[in-house]
Amino acid sequence: MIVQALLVGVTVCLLDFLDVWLCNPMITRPLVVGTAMGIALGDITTGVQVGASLELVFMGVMAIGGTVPPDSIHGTAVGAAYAIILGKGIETAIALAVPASIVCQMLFVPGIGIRSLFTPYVERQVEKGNWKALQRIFPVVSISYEIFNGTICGLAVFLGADVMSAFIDSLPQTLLDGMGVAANMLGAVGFGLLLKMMWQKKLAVYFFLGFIMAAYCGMPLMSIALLGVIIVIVLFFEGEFSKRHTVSETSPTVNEGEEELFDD
Amino acid sequence: MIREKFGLNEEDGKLMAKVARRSHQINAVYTWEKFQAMGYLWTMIPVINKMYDTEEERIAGYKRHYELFNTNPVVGGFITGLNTAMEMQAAKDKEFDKASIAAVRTSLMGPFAGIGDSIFQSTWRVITMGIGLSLAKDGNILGPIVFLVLFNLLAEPCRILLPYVGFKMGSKFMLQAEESGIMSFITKAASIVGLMTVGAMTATMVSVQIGYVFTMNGSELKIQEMIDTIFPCLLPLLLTLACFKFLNKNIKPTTLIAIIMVLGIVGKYIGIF
Repeated sequence: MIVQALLVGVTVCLLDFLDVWLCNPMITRPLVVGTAMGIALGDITTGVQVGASLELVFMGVMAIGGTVPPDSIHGTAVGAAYAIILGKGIETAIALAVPASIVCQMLFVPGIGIRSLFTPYVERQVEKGNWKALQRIFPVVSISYEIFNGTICGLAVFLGADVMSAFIDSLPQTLLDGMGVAANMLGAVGFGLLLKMMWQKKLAVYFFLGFIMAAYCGMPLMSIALLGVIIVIVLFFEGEFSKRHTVSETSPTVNEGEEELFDD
Repeated sequence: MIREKFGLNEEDGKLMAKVARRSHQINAVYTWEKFQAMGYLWTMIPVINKMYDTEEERIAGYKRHYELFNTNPVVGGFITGLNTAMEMQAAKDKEFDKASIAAVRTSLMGPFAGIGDSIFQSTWRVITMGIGLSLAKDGNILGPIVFLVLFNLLAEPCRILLPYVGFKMGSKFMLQAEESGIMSFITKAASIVGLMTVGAMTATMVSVQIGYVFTMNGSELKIQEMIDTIFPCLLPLLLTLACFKFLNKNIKPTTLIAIIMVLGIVGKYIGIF
């Protein structure tokens, strides 16, 4: 168990670090985290499957504008690790990942706070103009928070696996089946979050256009996205772009009315 | 090669290559006090060291770039490039108002966060993830690989080239661009493509199946089949719009997740699903 816990911790730490160091190449999305757990623990197929199911749950979850969303990264890591180590299937992973992501969300604010311990040192070096020290400490400050995350996930696996195994065995089958049903529906929350971000009354029709293309016509996703690009190009040449300039003054007031449809 | 494309001399090219490489780490240190300030300083250290020779000017330079900063890291390189051009001018021209360097940085971080988030976080990520997920269904490792490759195929050129673009364009162009409305058009364009993709994925990736069979006079009536002939994917659409409506009423996503889980378990228990 200690080897597996170490593997989980190191993998989480590495993924977190590389994601911020390489400018968010998306390696901390649940699909990738689940796969990485599969590789680390030796069951790639389950890892990918768990990652894919959790990705649907957390699809719309993205830190935008300094908000603190449920921590999909570490929730997925812990959920996927349990699913693989205990060998109890995807429903188990979902049942564990969602609560884990909520616990990790609470750890996010104090976790990032660890970096603030370095702030006095950094400020002193800036005052002194000691750029070499700044360059040396920079990766250290960065990884301090990632080590914290790796430790949490590793500990969760190390301490929790036996307890979790007994707990899951005690659950009735209907409950786990219901979790499976819920897993297929949970994408709705993610897409709801995305809609909240993008929704404008005037553009809402494009949401339904995309829906109809997929539901009735069965068109693949890429073809729908490409048609969207064509619509944008048509709008550009039809002068929608230059018109935009003149109405931009009034658009804030229009925005307020936009939510009417879903305000009642 | 990039240097020649942008018509920079060898010296500027070397410096910009460094800025472009270091711009990748803008988000590497996120803190509660100044957000991405330390990553920004990290990017600008070679610029300050190259432009200024006296200790005093350098320290002032470091301080100038260790200020609150927060933007979308993929497109944030544009701003570091722009600031590099301004530092260069400031070093040559003693009259140059150095306060404008920070002003440009602060005024652009908001619009660039908006553009970067709407293109990369909410649109391109969703499209590429949709393709990745459709491959990953049976546990195929190609799913995550295709997702990562596709996403970064568009993102990486932006990370590398935008600092150069910012360096060449200068601050005047940016102000014109904002006035002409092209920034809001880009955001709108990304929203259109994004909404169509989310609509399509609502149909393909959310699944609500009614398993209940209605029996009348000995003949079976499968409810799910009826719905499928009239309006396929009606239930996923309604569920998604309901979630959206609740989220707009400031109900937390975690609450909704809990409600759906209970719904799934109860529904399974009484035999609706």
